[in-house]
Parts: sequence; structure tokens; C-alpha cells
Amino acid sequence: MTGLSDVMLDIRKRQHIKPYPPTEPVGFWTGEDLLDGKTVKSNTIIFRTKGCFWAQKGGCTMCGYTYDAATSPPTVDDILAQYRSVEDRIEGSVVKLFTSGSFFDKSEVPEKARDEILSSIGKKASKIIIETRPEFVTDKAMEAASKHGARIEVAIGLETSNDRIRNECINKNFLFEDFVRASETAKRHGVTTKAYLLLKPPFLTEKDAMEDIFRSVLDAAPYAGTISINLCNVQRGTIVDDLFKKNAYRPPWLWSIVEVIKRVHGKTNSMIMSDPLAAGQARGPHNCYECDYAFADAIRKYSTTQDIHVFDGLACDCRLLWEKTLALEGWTFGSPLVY
Amino acid sequence: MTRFFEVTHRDGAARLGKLLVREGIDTPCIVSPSSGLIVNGGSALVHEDLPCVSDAFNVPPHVGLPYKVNKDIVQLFSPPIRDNACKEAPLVAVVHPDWVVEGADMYVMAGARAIEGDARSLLDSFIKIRASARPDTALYVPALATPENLSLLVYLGADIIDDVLITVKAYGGLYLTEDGEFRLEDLSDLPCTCEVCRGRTPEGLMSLPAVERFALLARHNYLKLEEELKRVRLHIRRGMLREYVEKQCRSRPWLTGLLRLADAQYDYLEQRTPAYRSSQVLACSAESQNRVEVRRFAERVKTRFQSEGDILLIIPCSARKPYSMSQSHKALARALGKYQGYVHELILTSPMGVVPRELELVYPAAHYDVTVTGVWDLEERQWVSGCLRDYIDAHHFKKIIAHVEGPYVEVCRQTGRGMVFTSEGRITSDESLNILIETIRTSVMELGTKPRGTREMLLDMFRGMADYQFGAGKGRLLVPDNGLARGKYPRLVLFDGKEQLCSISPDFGSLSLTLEGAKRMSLDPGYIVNIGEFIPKGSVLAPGVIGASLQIRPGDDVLVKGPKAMAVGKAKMSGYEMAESTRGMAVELRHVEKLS
Repeated sequence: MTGLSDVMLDIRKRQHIKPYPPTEPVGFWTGEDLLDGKTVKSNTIIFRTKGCFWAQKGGCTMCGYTYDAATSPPTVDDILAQYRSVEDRIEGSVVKLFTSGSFFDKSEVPEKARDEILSSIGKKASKIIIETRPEFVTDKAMEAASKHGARIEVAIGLETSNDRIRNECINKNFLFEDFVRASETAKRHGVTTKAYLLLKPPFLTEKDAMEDIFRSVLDAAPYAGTISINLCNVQRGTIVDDLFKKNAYRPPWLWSIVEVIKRVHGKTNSMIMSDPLAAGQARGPHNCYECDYAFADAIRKYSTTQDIHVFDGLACDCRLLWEKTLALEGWTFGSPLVY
Repeated sequence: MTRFFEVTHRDGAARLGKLLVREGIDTPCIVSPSSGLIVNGGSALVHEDLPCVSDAFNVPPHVGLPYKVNKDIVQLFSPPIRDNACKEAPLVAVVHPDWVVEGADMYVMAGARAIEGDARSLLDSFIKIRASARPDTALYVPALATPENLSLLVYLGADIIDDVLITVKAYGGLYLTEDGEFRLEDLSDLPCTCEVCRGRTPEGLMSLPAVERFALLARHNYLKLEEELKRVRLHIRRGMLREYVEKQCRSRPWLTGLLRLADAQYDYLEQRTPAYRSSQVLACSAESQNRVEVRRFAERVKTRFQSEGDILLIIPCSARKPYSMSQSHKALARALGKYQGYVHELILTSPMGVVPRELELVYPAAHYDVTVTGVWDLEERQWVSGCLRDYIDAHHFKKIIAHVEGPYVEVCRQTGRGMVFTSEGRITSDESLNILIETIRTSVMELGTKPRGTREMLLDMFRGMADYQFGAGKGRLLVPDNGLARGKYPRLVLFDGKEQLCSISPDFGSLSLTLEGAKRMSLDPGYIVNIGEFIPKGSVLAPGVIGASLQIRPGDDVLVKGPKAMAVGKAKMSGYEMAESTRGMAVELRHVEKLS
């Protein structure tokens, strides 16, 4: 029987992928992050690797990051060359290392390259956040990573604490218990955990998606000092994109994330954050297209301040439409109600 | 299989019915989610099964997907109905048109909202679901109905709609009417007299707090939807929903497209359109020419009807029906006198095409009314002249006389077939009539044509109608050479000696058979309904039907055969429906004979 992976593989096959030089990273930028209650500068490096192993088997229904992967696997030298090309610009106390896959997957980033990079950054920054799937959070990897001076945090795309939604909507291919195990492994080595959650995977109504994230924040909080709620945006070459083009998917309302944050605020010991990427666009989270920027600003502000009052001034008549959507969307029996 | 729904009236694919819960709920109907009539189990990904409610329609937890979504994804989420699903309570299945499951009482067109504006996908969805779901199950088209599109949704077969879309449109600030949706701020007047609009102005509504304003808009939108539903039910009852949708579809190009595509998909509507009925057919739009009744009539004239003779006389139609009761045709008949028996009359008309005199009483030839301006558009001309050419080519007339005026002349010429024109100006002028008589007289002499007497002409009418109704050649079996037509035209009864064979039913435009008449034609295999071992009284209900000819349509006369009885009657549903339905009247009986 055909599964979500087969459908994803089929879609991925049809994408035109631009070849990139293996010595240039996918991206590098400077931003702000919260460190010990203070707003500090942060740098993000996205390495170009051979790509997420799971994406190569089809992968997650909303993920288009894999199209940034190198066409042939970069060597140790290639990866180090990527690092060298941005090394001088690193100035933040927090450095985030992404690969569009798992930094701890040796087939993406060989151990030699990983050690050199962590050792180099360890001398500059006080905290390194590293994205990875839970299966690569092993004692060996954590031990090696934590010996370079800087504090290490593993960032795992848990997406939801509901195993059915994670596997039947997102096709993530791991269980909540795998995440818990990874978090506990990390903890043994003094490594903290950040959990990414996904607000509104495909095949769910706004209401169901919102309730799921509310639940997931509470479930993940004991294992994750930071919880970042990603608002699903429509990336090309994904099932979500396919559904979107057929009027079968709408990204989440910004009202929903505000509602989730208000409901979980103060109920956990974790930092709750969200970066409303592509807010105000049809392919990104949006309300009525009129109030979206005010919402996105407030959400970003909350992420760096954890101050719930940033939402106090937010008002728009579209709140009533959002409320009706929550109440009635199940009555479309399979499509968004309001686009 | 369903015990919870029954169809009572049909008008094409549209139907009136009853949900058999809570003392019966008439359909088509608007269901509000809050009514509890439909219990929505929600997403199967996050909800557990609910217990079944016995006086409501139960939708178990499901994952629906809109029509155009990749089939591989759809099949991942489309499980068959589980064995332990509501057995004793009404069960609803949420279905993708390509993945209809067996065994539900009601079907929900999953994610129909996503194909709003996509006429082709919506039509395909109706056709596919209806092709797979039993005909006596209800169809719910969710979150799509507006006052503008409701009539088309029902016309295509929706039994249940809801107030979901009109509610969210209200909360998006939209004011709905049957001919458009408006932003409140763009209106200078409220074009409505409902309880909300009466005594209010757009500015007044705009000045209210959003929560009040939207609630009032929602109320107005609901009232408009309800009003439209009532109108549609009236038109179904009158058998004239087609006329209504031909005008209502103008409110949106995609709705007009929906109607045109449905006409192009002929079979779906044809299978459900009555063969005979007493309602009028109004031809006021370009689409009228493509409606089933018109196409089917032309098709049957072409394939079932055959007349013999030497001389074809082509004449224009009249506003009054049947034509022979009109002033112009009466004048023509008076002038023709005995020469009427030498010719075969063929009436040219838009949109019916050609109507042989023998079929002038048949539905809808005797039931239509058309916009007459004296100007025929290109399509009308092409259609009618095509029908005429086909008719001429299918017969062996030796002489063709066109006694026509105005635009009819061009229609005749357009056939490219040789014919004599006998009218100078008005067809009823003395001069024209004289030329006509003279032409016929000369032709008769040249050809040695034998005349038909009045009795023979009436028998030909019965033969022609029987051929039209039951198939080519049936007329000869039904009408004996020594048969006799009694009664006052058009209420004629056909006898063979003392045995009555059939009568003309001018209201319905068909022949009503006696059992003897039906037996003589041996309606096998075209118009037979096979029933079980019982003696029916008054009617045959669908569960008693074992098999039925597929070409049977509502209004057709059928021969009912069973081991214990034989009967003749009028079909109340189409043949495929009789065979597959478990509720409703299949045949209204006229005569029953017990078999020993």
C-alpha cells in the first residue's frame, strides 16, 4: 500500500533542484535570542550537507528544506570550507547550527568536521544550539559535543506529542518516547533540549491543530527548556504544497498561536517562543491580511521577552471570523472553511 | 438498504424526500450544525468513536479530503465502513467521489468547499458519488450552499445543505442575496425586506459593534438561504426546477458553466429526467435547447419514429399547443381539406427541432413555450435545420414541400435538401394557400399517391406515439389495421373491437396502456418491471422489484411481471432506481391481472 512516504518521494522526484557549490553554506545570518533572561545576539549557520536521511526516504509532509541539500555528499573539507567562509562573521553569544537535517548524523556531518566546528565555536560563543532528529542524540555524540566549553542544546523537531498526528499527518517516523529518550540522554551530559512544535500539520482543522499544540506544549515542557512553536508555512515540493494548491490546506491563523501562548503561559517552566515565518502571506500563517504584521510583531516580541502583555493591544474584527472557523470548520468534512 | 430516507418527488436529479427521524424531516433541507440532526464525530486522527444517536444521522470520526487531492493520499484516509458502525441508527459516510463506500444512509461530499467555483470538479463529484451510492441514500453537500448556488446544488442532486458557508461569509462581512454577495460598506441600500433588513440601513449596520453586525448579517444570510430553499422546493414540486436554474445560474459565470457542463454530460440528467409529465417546458434561454427533454425528443424522433408516404409538408409551429388547435394550423387544415390525407405534416420549431404531426400531443411537444421574436439565432437555426435534414435523410419522401415563412425559410434552405417553397409572404394568405394546394394536387397526380382517411390518420397517430414511447416498430404491434379511435381529439381511446388497448393522456403527453395493449407490444426488454411472488395492489414499491429495464424513466408506462401477477402502470422512478432502492413507490398501477 502507498504511504505518505511514497507520495512524498513521488513529489520530490518531480522537483527541479539547483546544484550548489558544496563549499558554500545554505545560509548564515545574525539575529537575537534569549540567553539567561537577556536578549543577546545570535548567529545561525545552515550547512549544506547531503540532506536529511529521512527526507531522502520521502520524509515529512511539510518539509521543503531538503531541496537545499547538496547534489553530491560534501566531504569533510567541503563542510569545513563552509564553516570557514562564515567563521569570521560569528559574533553572537548564541550560535545555531542547522543542516536542514541532523547535524549529529555522521553521514551528513562527519565526526571530524563536527568536532572541529564545535571546538572553534566553543571558543567564541557561550551556547550552541544544534538541530537533530532524536535518533542521533546518543551518549557518544553528546559526550563529544559537550567537551568544547560552550553549553550545548539539542533542538529536536518533535512537532507534536501526539504519535498519530506526528506519524499520520506529518510522517515524522518517530515516537514521543524517542524524543523523551533523546532529551534524557542529552541531560545526562549536561545538554539541554529545545523542542520544535508544528502548529497545523495537514489533515487537521484549525481547532484540532490548536488543541494539539496546547496539549503538546504541556507534554513536552518537562523535557524541553525551550519550546519553539513553528507555524506551518507552505513550502514548495511538499504534500502541504500539493494540498494548498488544491484549496485543501490553509496555514494557521495568527489568532491561534496567540491563543495557544496565552493558554500555556505560566503553566510550564519552559521558554515558549515562535517565529512567525512568512506571516501575512497566503503561504504563511495569517489572519485577515490586515492585522497580520501587528500580530507577527507581538509574537516575536513575546518570544524574546516572555511578556504576555505584548498581546494586550491586539484586536481585529477578524477574531469573530476566526472563532466561527474554530466552531464550524469540522463541517466542511475535509477542507479549510476560510482561506 | 436505508430505512432512514425516502424520496417522494423527482424533478431530474433534484428530489423531494424525507429523513425518517424525528417525525420526518422534509428534504432538501438546510441543516445547522447546532441542530443535532447530524452528529459530527470529527477527525479520526484525534477523536474516538461516539455512541450512535438513534434519532440523528451519525458521522463517525473521519478524515475527509477535497475532490482534487492526489488519489494516493485520499486512499490512505478512506477506510471502508467498519462492521461495528451504527447498525440501528442512521449512518453517514464522508466520501471522496472516487472512494464511495457501501452501506451508509447518507453520504457527505468531503471538502466540497474547496471546489467552490470549479464547475467541472463539482459536477464530477455529483456524478461519481451518485454512480456509486444507492439512489435512495441522501446526499449532503457541506459548507457550500449560498442563496446564489443552492438551486444548482439541489438541481444536481443535493438533498442536504447547511448554513455553514453563509455564516462564515457573514462573519467576513458579506451580505448575501440570490444574485450576488456584497460588502456591507459597498451598499447604499439593503435590497431585501427580511426581518433584519426591514427598518435598517447599511450605515446603521456598519455603525454597530462587529459582534452585533455579524450576527445580524448571519441572520439575514440564513433567511435568504431559507427563502431560496423554499422557492426551489416549490419548483421541484411543479416539475419546473430546470426553468428556475436556467435563470438563477446567471448570477455567476461558474454556475452557468455548471449547468452547461451538466447538459453536456447528458446521461447523468437524462437517467433522472421524467419521460412524460404534465408540467410546462419553458424555453427562454440558450441552455433550453440543450435540456434533456429537448434532446431526448429529437433523439427519439430520429431513432424511433418512422412515417411512410410520398409527400412531406413542412410547416411552421404555432404558439398554441397542440398545434392543430391553433388558428394558423386550423386555417391550414381547412384549406388543405381532403389533401391533408395525401401529405405527411412536419412542424418546424425551436427548440424542439421537428415535430411530426403524429407526435404533436407528445411531451414536451405539446408542453413547451418558447420566446418568439421572429429572429432566430445562429444556434437555433443550425439545430433545427440539422433536425430537419436528419429527418429528410431518414425517410423516402418523393416530394418535399416547405410551406413556411420568415426565418423558417432560411432554416429549410440551410438543410441543402431539395424542396419546393409554396408560401408567398404569410402562409395563411389566400395566395400562399392556393399555391400550396396546387403544388400538392400536381404532386399527387405525378406520384399517384394514395390518400389516408381520417380514421387511418388517427391510427397513424397512435402508431407514431407508440413507436416514440416504446421503440421503433411497437406501433404496428399495438395498433391493428381495423383498430378504431374513439373520443374527442385529443382525448382519444384506441379499440380493437370491444377491447380497449390504450388511450392518449394529453396532460402527460403519452399513451396510457391497458394490460391488453401492453401485452400486444410485448414490452420486453425495454419497459418491463419484474416483481417477486406477490399480487400488487395499487402500486409496486421498490423493495418488491427484482429487476427493471434500464431505460425506464419516471412517467413511462411499464409492464409489471411476476410469478403471481401481471400489471400495467406508470413508472414513478427510473429503472435503475427501482432495482437498487429499498424505499418508495416504483410503479403506480392501472390494471392488475392475477395469474393462476
